[in-house]
Amino acid sequence: MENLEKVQKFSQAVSKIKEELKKDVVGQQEIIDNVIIAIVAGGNVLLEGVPGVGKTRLVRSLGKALSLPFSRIQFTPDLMPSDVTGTNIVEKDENGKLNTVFRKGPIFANLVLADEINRATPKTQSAMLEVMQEHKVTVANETYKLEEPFFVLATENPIEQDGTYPLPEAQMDRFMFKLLMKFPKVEELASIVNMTQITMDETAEAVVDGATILEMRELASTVPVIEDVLNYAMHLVANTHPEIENTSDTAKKYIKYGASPRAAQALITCAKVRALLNGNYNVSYEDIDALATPVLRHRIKVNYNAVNDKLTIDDVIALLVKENKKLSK
Amino acid sequence: MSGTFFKIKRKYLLNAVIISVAIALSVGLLAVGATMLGVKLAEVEFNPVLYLPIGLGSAIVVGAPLILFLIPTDKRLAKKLDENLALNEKVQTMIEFAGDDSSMAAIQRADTEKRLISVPFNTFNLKKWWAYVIAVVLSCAVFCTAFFIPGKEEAPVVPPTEEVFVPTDFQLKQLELLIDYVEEDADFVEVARQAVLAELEVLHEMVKSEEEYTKGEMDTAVLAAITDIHAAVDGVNSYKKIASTMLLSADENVLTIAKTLGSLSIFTVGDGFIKVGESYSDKTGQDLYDGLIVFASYFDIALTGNGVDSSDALLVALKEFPNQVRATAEIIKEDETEEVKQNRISNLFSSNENAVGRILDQISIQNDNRDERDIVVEELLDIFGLTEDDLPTAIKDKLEEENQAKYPEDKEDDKLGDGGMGSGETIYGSNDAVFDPETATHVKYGEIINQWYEEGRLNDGTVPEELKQLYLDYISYLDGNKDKFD
Repeated sequence: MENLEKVQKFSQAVSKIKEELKKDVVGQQEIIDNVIIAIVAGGNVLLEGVPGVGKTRLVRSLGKALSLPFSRIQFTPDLMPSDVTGTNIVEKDENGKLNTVFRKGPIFANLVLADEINRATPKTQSAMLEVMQEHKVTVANETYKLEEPFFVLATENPIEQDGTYPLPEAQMDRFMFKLLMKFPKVEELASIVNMTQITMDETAEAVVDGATILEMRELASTVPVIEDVLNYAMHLVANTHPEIENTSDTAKKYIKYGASPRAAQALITCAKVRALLNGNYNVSYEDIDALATPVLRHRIKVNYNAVNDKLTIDDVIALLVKENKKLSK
Repeated sequence: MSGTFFKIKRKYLLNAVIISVAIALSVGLLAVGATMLGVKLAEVEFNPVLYLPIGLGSAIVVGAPLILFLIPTDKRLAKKLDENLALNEKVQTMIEFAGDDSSMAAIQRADTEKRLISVPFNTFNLKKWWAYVIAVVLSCAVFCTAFFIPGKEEAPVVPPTEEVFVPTDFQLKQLELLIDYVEEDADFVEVARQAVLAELEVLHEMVKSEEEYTKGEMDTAVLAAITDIHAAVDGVNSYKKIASTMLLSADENVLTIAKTLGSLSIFTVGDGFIKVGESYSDKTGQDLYDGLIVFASYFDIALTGNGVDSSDALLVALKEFPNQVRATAEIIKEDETEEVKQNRISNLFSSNENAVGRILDQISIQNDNRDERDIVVEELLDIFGLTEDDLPTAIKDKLEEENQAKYPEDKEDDKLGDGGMGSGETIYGSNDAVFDPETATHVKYGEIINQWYEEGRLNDGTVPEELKQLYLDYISYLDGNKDKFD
């Protein structure tokens, strides 16, 4: 069966990617899994973590393992949109004639690391919007399509609040996941130190290519989802809205505004990938529950009740999931 | 559908049936047991037939919806299996996408099937089966306890105290008169007389005795005596036995005579012989001779094999007759006129001085035995307050048979009737004659009434005062002269 081979290839590819990433990234297994899920699902990831936890290293290593052209954009307040997308420049050709030539920006890669994206101005941030959503760039009325697979991994540094521009909700919604990279454990720290004493460079090798990723993406889209699970996921997203009739008690109490329909799309798409990643051929409730936090974390805003009750966004999402499980029974 | 899933579904179906039956049975038994217990403790009347609908109804009301609830649909079972076996919605996906022929769906089905097969089949056995067994046992215990608890004790049925037979002086006197009658006046042959007297003496002893008898015991004794009296008379009256074998004869003339014997009427029997004799009136010469000889032979044969003692008088008289027939046949071979011969034959079949006469005598004797028997029986019934309906069935059937035999078919107009209940028609007495069997003549009512009166029955204190008027009225009706005895 052709698909069976593809499934086997999928499993092998994922295993290989993980193996390679392990060489450069210590721990952070959940982050790695979710990043792989996002890539295969065709989504972008927002990574938040303190400096030095390995965000950039992860993306670099990933780029090597996927043998995909990789670029890094360090966002600063003075970064212009054209610095990201590219711009038309005037060039003299060999005949001395002046021509306008489009110089591609760093966004023209398969894998883009948008470092400290929240340091860029809203204007520059909005330039990323079209790119991340539509995988194309429009400059001077010319549209340039980005090569697939295209993946943006943006980072945020939570502790540097000065001189940052919070990402608008519209842009936040373009990220499939928001992942929190935590400070490594002591034993992991020791491994990091030992590893980087040898070399600071990423040692991951190319194990898959872009075509494979696209095949994996296509395969994952065929994973079946039963109606009950689909409804479960839809209720989870709908119950993040306090204004909806018969919504969850958690939403009524702790949420200011809820997630967009993109959250529902992201949940299902990523759940399919996760299922295949774990050797299953169908989406389960467990997949939905496991992806609820990374999918909803950046899409819902809590109100002062949550702050007052000292509940983080993750805590609120956990309550939402718990309530959704009860309602589904 | 997956083969394994189908097998599992069948297993769950079986489990559902077992659970439903166990619970329905328990509920039914509990309902009946509880009702029975309540009824017995409260000591109320309750139709036991109602326990069946109570038990059955309760079982059905609980069992039917339960089994409908427990019967697994594919989706429900798939969900259950996913939850119980932690299969992460694999089975549900397999069921929902059963019709999907995409590659991924096929892989998913195969993977699920593999996982289901790997689960030991006894995983799907009925869990906590012991709970259902306990439920059934407990409900049985309740039912049995209720069943064996003694209910309201029914008040013992006290049989009604049987009436004690207290003989009246009248009864005693009547019985003694009857005994006297049988001893001195009744026309029984001696053997029968003694037998009848013996029975009457037993009854007399019982009536006189100091010992108390119940009415039932007395009635039984009287009916037993009547049965024995009938047997005694049957022992001396041979006509029935003789007639039964004669009726098997192939000869018409023998049959003619045989049919008349049952009547025990000298007239009927006599007429029978005459009729046979007349059948030879148109025969002459050798024909006549041969006819008589043949008749005599058939008559002889007809008298054999009846089991009657050879010294029986009637049998002896009957046996004499064919000899006389043969003798007469020989005589009429002589050279005589036809008229003379016919006269001889006529005498043979009708004369009272020869065999026919002696046969008729014996018929009369046996008829007397029977009539006297009936008189004694009627008196006994009357004395002890019984009726013909109280007679044993065998006796009643016999009397019926005798009555029918009294009137053979060609003598319908001589029927006297059965007696017993009247037609309701009022018959007024007259001075018309009534038949006196003793003298075989007709005598007037008036003479009988005078005789009865002269015997003092009315005024000797035998008849209670309250019945005297009844007797007078009766006699008056017969006589048509109400004032005669004022």
